[in-house]
Amino acid sequence: MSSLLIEEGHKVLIRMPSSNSKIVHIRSATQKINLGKFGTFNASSLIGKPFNAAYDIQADGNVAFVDPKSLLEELGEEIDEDESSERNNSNLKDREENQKVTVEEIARLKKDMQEGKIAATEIIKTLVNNNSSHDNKTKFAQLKFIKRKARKYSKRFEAMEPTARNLCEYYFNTKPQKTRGIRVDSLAQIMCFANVMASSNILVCDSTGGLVLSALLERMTHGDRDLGGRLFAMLDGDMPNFDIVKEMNTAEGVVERTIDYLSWSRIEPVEGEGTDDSLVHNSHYLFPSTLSEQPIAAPETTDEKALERHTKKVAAIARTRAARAKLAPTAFDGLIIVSQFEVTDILAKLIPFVGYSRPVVVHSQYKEALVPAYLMMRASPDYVNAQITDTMTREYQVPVSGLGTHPFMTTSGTGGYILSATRVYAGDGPLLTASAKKKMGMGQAAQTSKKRKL
Amino acid sequence: MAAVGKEDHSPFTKYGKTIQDGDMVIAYVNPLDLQAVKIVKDGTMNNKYGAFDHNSIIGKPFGTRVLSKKGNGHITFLHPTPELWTACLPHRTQILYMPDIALVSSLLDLKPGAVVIESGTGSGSFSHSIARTIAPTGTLHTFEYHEERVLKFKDELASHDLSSIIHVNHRNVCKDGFGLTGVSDAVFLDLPSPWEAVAAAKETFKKGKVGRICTFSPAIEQVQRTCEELEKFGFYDVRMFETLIRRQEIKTLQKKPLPTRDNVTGFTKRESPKRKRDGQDDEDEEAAEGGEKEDEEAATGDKADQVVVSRTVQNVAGHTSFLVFASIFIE
Ligand SMILES: C[S@@+](CC[C@H](N)C(=O)[O-])C[C@H]1O[C@@H](n2cnc3c(N)ncnc32)[C@H](O)[C@@H]1O
Repeated sequence: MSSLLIEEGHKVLIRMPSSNSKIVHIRSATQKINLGKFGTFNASSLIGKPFNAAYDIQADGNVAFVDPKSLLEELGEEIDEDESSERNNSNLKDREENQKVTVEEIARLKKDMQEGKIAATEIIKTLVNNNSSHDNKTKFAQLKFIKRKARKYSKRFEAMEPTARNLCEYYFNTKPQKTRGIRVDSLAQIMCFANVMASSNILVCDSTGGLVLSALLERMTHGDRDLGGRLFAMLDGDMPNFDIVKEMNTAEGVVERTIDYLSWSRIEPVEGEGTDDSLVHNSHYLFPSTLSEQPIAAPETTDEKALERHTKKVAAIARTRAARAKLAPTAFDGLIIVSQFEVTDILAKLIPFVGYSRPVVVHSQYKEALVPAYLMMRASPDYVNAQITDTMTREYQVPVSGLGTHPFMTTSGTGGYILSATRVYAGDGPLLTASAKKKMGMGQAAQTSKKRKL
Repeated sequence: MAAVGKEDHSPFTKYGKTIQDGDMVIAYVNPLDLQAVKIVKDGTMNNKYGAFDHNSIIGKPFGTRVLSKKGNGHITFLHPTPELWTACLPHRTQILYMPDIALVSSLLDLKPGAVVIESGTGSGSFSHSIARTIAPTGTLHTFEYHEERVLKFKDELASHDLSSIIHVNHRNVCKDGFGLTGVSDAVFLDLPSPWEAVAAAKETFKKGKVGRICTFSPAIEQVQRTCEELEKFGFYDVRMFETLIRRQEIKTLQKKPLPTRDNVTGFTKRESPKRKRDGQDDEDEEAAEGGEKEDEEAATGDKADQVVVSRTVQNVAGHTSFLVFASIFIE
């Protein structure tokens, strides 16, 4: 049965009440995990517990699973359920003197809490009980007050699974440049536009540190089972730079089995490398090493390091060759581009490898970066259904009081633009010219569109 | 647990390369004119583009684009996808569209192997997408109380080879629950009164892991009641979203030169642009709604006199529905 429990060796995305997040790697059970100002806890106490749940750091340094209803129950007594009374927020004054507990006393309580003498909820209760305006507030305002205090004093965090979605949200909030501004909703749409199936074989240009590959991997694997799907990633440099993939908890061997990669500069064989396999054994062309013209013979030495280096080089050549052989005409079930390079250049190089009736999906933070490719697609007989879209996602406050320390998803601004199209086979048979199309009333589309309801 | 590779060969879970006798294709003219067609040897398709012999595309690659018999349009024979199906399926109810489908799939953590519960099935728009995402090792249990819709959907599943991934149940989930315990990773409720199914939905979740639920409701009053019920049954981390997709309209404008003086008459003369593209603006207005307007001239014309402009299409559908998500842990 699948159970999503935290294991030794896992990475965990920790969300703290301040809305700060941090990725921690539980290397061993004996470890202490340091969350900075927020505190430290024993890794062993988190192992075997569920992901995507909340935990309290206790005085002994162990964490305790927080029953989602407990915050409510613990503090619920402080909330007056009697909604019939005429109370409202209109005559509240936001003043320090509403709080009867002195600053010194709060400091002492805080110290007690840090030393583990009292629970964080104790402080919150004290603050709530001594807030003179509390009872006059509406239920909702009371909850908000409690939540704000909880954020300040509690030692509660959420242990999230580092899924592509959670990592996407994490990077969007902390380092959006790293992931090229992809927001959760745009990543989700890329997966739909690209019709990602477990059995797909997808060509990917990922300059997002591996976020796109992570999302694809997730949709194409199930534990350590081989579902047939493959990914082929173009490397911006000579070495893979997909560290976000490593932040997910993938089963061993899955990444290696699923992802092939090739440097942009290796799409065509390097001169002198030849194409026959015999050269693998004495080639001078190496990945990621130099391009010396001299063939490399096995070094005449017994130095183990030198021999090991040689073996690695030979293996690297073989791998590059094997990868290049997979870049065959119409071999791929889709092309996904979130790249630092010019989209039209990428398409010119890679489109022959994309199968017919297969999607091409490009994401960019900037609409203008997509426009030349869009116009090219519109003018080409090789694409249909080219469109540029963006997404508007709004998060609303919900009328509940429970757990959840996450920040609101940024509601203004954009998660970027997506250019999507389908490659088609215009191979045989005549095609209409643009002017002929106009004459023949191909404005049909525009008329039907009026009837469409969304 | 399901065996790996329950072999189904559904076009919604696995691509094919060439069109074969018996395959389903999507005959695509533009984003608003597309139609699912079953290709049969010696069959013909009739529509406003004329008669079309199926034999002429059997053996051709999916994605083959041909000129219609009448010469009035290009038809492209596309491989089916859940997104294309959503755009051309027979509507029996309101359906979910791609932007909501994408967000829900992501926030419910759908992926291969997931066991999902859905109600109501409606027209099966979302069901197809779920199947694509959880195949080949996942299962969708979908529940619908309207008998005719159940039967229609069963027929569709058989013809789309999805019966081993999607199990259809004829049942009133608000009254009778789901009849499943401890099996699901995610639950999706698109019902008029989702709160009536929350308690029953809780029963269906796998034990020992955190499960996810989503409800889809157009009205805030429904959201209110659902949230209360979710909280009552121990669901937490409740978040609510609304998502919209906005099409960008892109076109090429001809630059208009500044007026000059006519030396003969002395009046201001308005220079007409080199290539007349009058009325283009109006055309594009229509195309912006989703029509397949080819910007060939834009790409090939005299660039110096043109400027490429873009804007967000104004008439986006104002409001779809509220998506409420929550988590649950059952020991
Ligand atoms: C809006 S439709 C669902 C559309 C679906 N999400 C789609 O994408 O095609 C709602 C469906 O729920 C069904 N329904 C309503 N109440 C139900 C109940 N208590 N049990 C089962 N199905 C119900 C209705 O018959 C209707 O078909």
